Amino acid sequence: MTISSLSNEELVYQLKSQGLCFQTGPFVIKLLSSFSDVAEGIASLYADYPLASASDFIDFHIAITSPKNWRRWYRPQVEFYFDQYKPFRPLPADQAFAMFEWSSNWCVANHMHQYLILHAAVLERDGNVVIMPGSPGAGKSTLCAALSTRGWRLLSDELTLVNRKDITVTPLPRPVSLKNASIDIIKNYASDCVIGPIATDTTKGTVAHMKPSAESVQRAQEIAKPKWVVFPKYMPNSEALLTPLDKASSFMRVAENSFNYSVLHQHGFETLAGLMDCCDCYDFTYSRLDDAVAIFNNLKPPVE
Amino acid sequence: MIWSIRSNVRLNSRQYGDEFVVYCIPSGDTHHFDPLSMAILDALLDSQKNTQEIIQFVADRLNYYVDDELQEHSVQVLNELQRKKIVKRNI
Repeated sequence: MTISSLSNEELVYQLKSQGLCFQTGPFVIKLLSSFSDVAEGIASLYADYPLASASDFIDFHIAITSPKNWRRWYRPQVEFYFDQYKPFRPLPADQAFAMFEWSSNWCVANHMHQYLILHAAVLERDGNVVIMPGSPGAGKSTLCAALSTRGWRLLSDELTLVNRKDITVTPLPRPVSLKNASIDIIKNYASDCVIGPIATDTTKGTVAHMKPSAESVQRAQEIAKPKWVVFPKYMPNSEALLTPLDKASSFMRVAENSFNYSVLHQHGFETLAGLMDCCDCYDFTYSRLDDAVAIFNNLKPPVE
Repeated sequence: MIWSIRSNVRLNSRQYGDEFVVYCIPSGDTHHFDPLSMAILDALLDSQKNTQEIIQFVADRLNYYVDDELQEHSVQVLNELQRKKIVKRNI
């Protein structure tokens, strides 16, 4: 059963009362919230996600709630609770759904150390995975969203989970975070894409999330082998250009883009070395999405 | 001057072309080293050496000859490795 099997009333009731339990990739989230934006975002962007069964272990207990003080009425706010703990300051209430997305990423990045976790978009095509680490503003999520509407399976737009034993990538397909101009760019690029609640005036500007394809959600248990590490960079009016990178520099740059490389100590080094062994590495600059997608479609896996 | 790898330091390295990535225990730091730096570390893996012995080892390893430039660079690298708490100067 997926979330889409619930009526809107059932969804809102579960979110407000006992909590909505659903599977995202390898994790089960129990979400409590009385915010209509959260219910709307879950209904529109998470429709294809499996509901968890009563016997499933819950990895993250998340609550997106109103502060129990005067801020419920004056400039309302939203708070994130993780197991009874409140790790962040409140945000304006109209950022409730964005707060759920950010906070659930935080849960994974800070607790799931069975994986080497990279701050990177990750997609798969024909069994081959491309990992795209990128600093904020590099155009990583925009390119990821575009590729996911042109035949690439979305594994994640934000968190790449590298299995430490066999250097495969475990999918964590979640809505793709789009910021500012990227929202309209992707709406124009993929007119049938579904965009969730829009949050304005966040610390990242205007933020909205794009629904992942049903296929990527349904295939969330299919791990895949990484073949390329590509560092994307959006440069206005530039030609799409893929430039080979040496692996030692790439190693250091991927390590800088990891959430838990230093937490894993020697295991982080070994896992990242394993990743470098099976991947070709590139810098990539682009301005036009069609050109970028064409180049990605022509990537050849490294010879083993 | 005698140099050695610090007694509590263990190194795990990977070679990519002629570049190296080295993980350092116990600091947990990861370093990107060029062939000269790696040759100096290799020189000290077995035993402590004085500066001239290290430079000769490096020249042999890199198929180079000992000149002022190599001496100067080697001393710079040794000081940098000391700053990174990988090697130490023994007095």
